[in-house]
Amino acid sequence: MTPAIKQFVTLVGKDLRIEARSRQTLGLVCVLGVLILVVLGLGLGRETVRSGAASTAALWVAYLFGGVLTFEKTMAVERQDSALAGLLMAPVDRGVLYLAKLTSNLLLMAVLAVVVTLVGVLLLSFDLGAAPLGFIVIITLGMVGFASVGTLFAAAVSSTRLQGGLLALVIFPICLPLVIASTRMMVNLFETRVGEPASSLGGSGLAILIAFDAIYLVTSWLVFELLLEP
Amino acid sequence: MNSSQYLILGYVVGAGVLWGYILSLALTHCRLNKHLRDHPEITHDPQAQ
Amino acid sequence: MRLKSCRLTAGFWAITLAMFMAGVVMVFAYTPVEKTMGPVQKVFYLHLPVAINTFLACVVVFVASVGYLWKRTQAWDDLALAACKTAVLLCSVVLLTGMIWGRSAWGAWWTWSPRLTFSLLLWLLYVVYLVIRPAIESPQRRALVSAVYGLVAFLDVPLVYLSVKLMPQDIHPASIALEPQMKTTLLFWFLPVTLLNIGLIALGYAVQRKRTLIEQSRGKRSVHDTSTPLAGDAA
Repeated sequence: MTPAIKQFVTLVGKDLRIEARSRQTLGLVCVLGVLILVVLGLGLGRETVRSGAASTAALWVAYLFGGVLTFEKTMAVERQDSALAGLLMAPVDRGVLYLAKLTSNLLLMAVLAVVVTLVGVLLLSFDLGAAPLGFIVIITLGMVGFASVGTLFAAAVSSTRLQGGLLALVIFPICLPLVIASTRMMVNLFETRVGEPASSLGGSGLAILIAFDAIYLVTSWLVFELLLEP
Repeated sequence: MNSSQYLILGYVVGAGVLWGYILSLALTHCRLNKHLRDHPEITHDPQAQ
Repeated sequence: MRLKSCRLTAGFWAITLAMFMAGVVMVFAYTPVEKTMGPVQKVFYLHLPVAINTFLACVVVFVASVGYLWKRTQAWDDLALAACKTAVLLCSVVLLTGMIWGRSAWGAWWTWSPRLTFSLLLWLLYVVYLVIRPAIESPQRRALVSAVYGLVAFLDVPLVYLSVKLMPQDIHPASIALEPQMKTTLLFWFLPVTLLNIGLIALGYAVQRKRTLIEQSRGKRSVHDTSTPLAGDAA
């Protein structure tokens, strides 16, 4: 293993160990996700929920808010006992710091996604079986893009005295192309079952998701070190 | 309202927003200039003297 | 020197205003009425140049943000803020005139057509830049976070544009067959609107420079002020 990979594994392991011991993030985030689904399910009513578009939109809202809380929490851990100052003094490349934080965020969000999606299948009668593979690909690509922006701005926002709600305000407008592209593709996958071939727009939507991921992974990786301040 | 009235509304709103903002910006500029004239110590650093 | 620059500014605004007026006269007296949409189509001569200038303002935000990250001088941040305010203002005008046009031509103030959605998302993207700034106290930190946001937001613009195209039903006229007089009017309108854009950014920049100056001096003085009474208390 090269030193960079070793550092990366150590950093991710550290985040996961903290989470395993305290269980402060996952519990909070999953309950929030489920709550959002319940509120939306109640608000939308029985008929609207049955349509694929409404349930995918509800799922996205749960992922987005749960994700924002995850980013806030995992960055807040670094603020305690000035752990970040220690990290910054360690001879680690800042790009590795970013990738490690991104990976831990993604792993936590994967758990969130599994819980929320299962609850969605149960409560909103979301028909996952219609296209499980397409769903997983879209959600994974969406999460990577969302987390790459979220991890970057979590570092920007957490050091100032604002947090609460502000991170959502910064991330959501930037992630809107992601939401549009993935919901359009989901609607194609889960709604147009009658007659015509399912994914007529699938290609360009997928291209947008991949472009989003690539652009923001590279940009955030380059810019992240500017925003890190103990 | 008919089409011509909407047209006039469009130009009134568009021009109103643009020039209204410019006017308010210009007034702010004058106010700041006055403030800076009244407090010359702002532009001349007190530490330097 | 001071008087000269004052005259230049006054002359600039006088020319811009005169051209704007001339444009309005041209729209109402010279340009023919479009057949299918009727008179309201003439909103287009204001709508399109302002939309193009919104992008130009966004480009200035991007350049100034990169400039700040590169040089770390407050002036770049002031420029980015001024350009961002201009971009939001111009985008608001695009949205308002577009909505009025839509109400007359299609009977609804708002439809989720791709272009409309695009302007709305662009507007949101840059409004957020303005609303997060006051929430950050340290001026350096504020400038830094804003610059990163300005950079990231600009990269988002093409993605928003592409993703919005996935949305169904476009009732927006992609291109209208323009008669020569219409073309002249449209081209003419680019002049006052572009001048207005430049003037807005420049004036906003001047105002912001002065605000920064005052804020900085206040910061310095408050450090001074607190030190003296504290020493007195200790004695």
